[in-house]
Amino acid sequence: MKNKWILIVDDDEGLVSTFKGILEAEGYNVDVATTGRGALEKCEDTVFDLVILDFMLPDMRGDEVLRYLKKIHRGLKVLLITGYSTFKDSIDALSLGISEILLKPISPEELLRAAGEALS
Amino acid sequence: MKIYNKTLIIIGSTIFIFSSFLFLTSHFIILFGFQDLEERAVRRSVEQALRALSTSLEELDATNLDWASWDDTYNFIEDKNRDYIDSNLVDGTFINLRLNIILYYDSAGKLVFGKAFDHENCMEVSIPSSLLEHLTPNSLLLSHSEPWDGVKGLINLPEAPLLISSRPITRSDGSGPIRGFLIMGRYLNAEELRRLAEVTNLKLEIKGPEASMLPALLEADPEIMVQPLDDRLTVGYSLLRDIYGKPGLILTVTEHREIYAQGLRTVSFFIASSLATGLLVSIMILKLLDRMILSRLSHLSQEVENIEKLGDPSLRVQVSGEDEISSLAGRVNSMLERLELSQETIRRYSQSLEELVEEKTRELIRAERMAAAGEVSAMVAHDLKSPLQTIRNAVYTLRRRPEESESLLKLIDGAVEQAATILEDLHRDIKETRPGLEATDLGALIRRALEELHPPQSISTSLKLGEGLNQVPLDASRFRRVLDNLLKNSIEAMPNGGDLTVSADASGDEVIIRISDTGRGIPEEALDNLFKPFSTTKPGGLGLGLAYCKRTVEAHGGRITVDSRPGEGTTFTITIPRWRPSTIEPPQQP
Repeated sequence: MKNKWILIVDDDEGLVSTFKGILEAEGYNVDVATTGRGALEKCEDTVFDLVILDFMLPDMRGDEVLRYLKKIHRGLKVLLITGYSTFKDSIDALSLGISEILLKPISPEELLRAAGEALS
Repeated sequence: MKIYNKTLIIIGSTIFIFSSFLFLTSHFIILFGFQDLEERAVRRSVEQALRALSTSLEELDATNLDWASWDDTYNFIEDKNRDYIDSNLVDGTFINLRLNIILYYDSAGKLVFGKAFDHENCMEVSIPSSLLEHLTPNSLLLSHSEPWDGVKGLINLPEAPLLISSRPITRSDGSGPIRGFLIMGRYLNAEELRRLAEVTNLKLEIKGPEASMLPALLEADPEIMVQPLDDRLTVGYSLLRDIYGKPGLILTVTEHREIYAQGLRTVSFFIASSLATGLLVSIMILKLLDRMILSRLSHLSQEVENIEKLGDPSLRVQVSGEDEISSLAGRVNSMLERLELSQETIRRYSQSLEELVEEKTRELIRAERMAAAGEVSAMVAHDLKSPLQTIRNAVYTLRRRPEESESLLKLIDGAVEQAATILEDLHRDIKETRPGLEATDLGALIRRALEELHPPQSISTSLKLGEGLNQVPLDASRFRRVLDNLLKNSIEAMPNGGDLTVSADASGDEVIIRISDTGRGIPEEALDNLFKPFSTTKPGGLGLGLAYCKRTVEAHGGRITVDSRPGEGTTFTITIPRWRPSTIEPPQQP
């Protein structure tokens, strides 16, 4: 678990920094991006094991970022987080290659469990 | 044309045709009948004249026979005694017997004695030589072989036509031998004609055989012809043949056309009385028609017209009687009744429809309000979740690493502040339907929005700003959000790059802002609902952005429209007022 790399993508900086702290405390290597474009650039440089992706980004939509990410690394694990409660029902997570959709506000325990399951 | 006038025309033309027919038939049948009658009457007159003439000739012949079969005459031819002449052939004899000529021939055809007498001057005249030419030996007049032979007839002499009789001279008992021939002649002159006219009461004339109607008369059988002279007079002609059987003279009888005039009078009276009767009958028919049908029809028509003018189907027409017209009125009434019923039904339907529309409108308004409320709550819920997530994360970390409390509490404080701003915004959104308008430099606002957009490198942006944009009444923060929304949409519509063009211009009392991209465009079927909440075409998008834009622009007193062609690009156009009434005055014109 020590050598797993996780990328957190969300435009809220407070949220990103707190998630980073939580995951790092569990021994993950964590990088962050606040835009879709930033996320894609990071993925080109580094091979991440898991991407935690917010659906609403200022420059791109989550599914767009997801498509590019899957193009770069087909087997990449992705957790999608969103604030829209109706969103979970309207997206076919499996077909998009998403491990799980999580609704904000997520309990950190839940996030850790989901990350653990995705990476196992 | 009114039905009364039509009837008048029909009856008038019927009378006209009837009169014309009557005139023609009466003229041809009645008048021709009268003409025929007239001709027959004239023929009878001609025959009467011929009979009178014949009687005159018979008398002459009878006198001749009387004298020729007489012993005195028989002896006179032999002895030529003077006594016979003195006692018999005196002037008185000529006058009494209306004789003009007496000639005595012996059997050899030699004139023994002859005397001619002029009645007018009462004197003896010479025997006309033209007559003697007919009396040569063995001529027709001097060649009787039997005592009962004789010739009588007409000879046309240049002096005058002559009625002539020739008889053989015998003894009184009629026995022969024939000693000679006795010739008696009577001129058919004006005097004799006058006498014949008196006897027959006819107007008679004698014409020479050179008259123009001779050929026609020769054709006729019997040789009588009738020809009207004019409207007053008609003439009957008859051919008289001489003793040789040749056409000698033409006898004419002129008569007044009394029968024809009577015929004319009859026809005129007939036509006049028929016309008068026709006119009377027409007037009666018209009066009766008018009273029984026409006036009732026009009354009915007037009533229906009144009802139509008033547009009130509850009215009824009133026609008395028990016939087709009253039945028509009854049908009109029942139609009016049905019309009234159906109008009532339509009125009820339209009323219930109106109520239904009102109810549906109320429901729609309610639904719109609910949707708006839902839209706002969805936006707030979404926006609040990020700071909540931060707080939750911070609390989690704080529990595990209390030594980092200071920075974590600062994070929590920031998140609470963020949430408070969101709620404040919501509060303002809900409370203020009108934005807080302040004179804003719109050009600067747009420029800043573009600068902070950070579009990908594949997208080139351009900005065109006109004059007069520095004092536009705007709620700067809300309008900035509108611009951000539209600009973000344009960027998202061009994943493979393109051109983003923003322009703003003052035009009259309005400011027009255009945001154009060369992206994928919006499907036509999505255009109608584009500005409605939750109507996004983007997968995962909620479609709240454009609804917000529309609401905000309209709150500024403006409007937003879209023009999009799939595959070519989209242009959003915002038009807002340039001046805010009463608070921001337009700058003074130089």
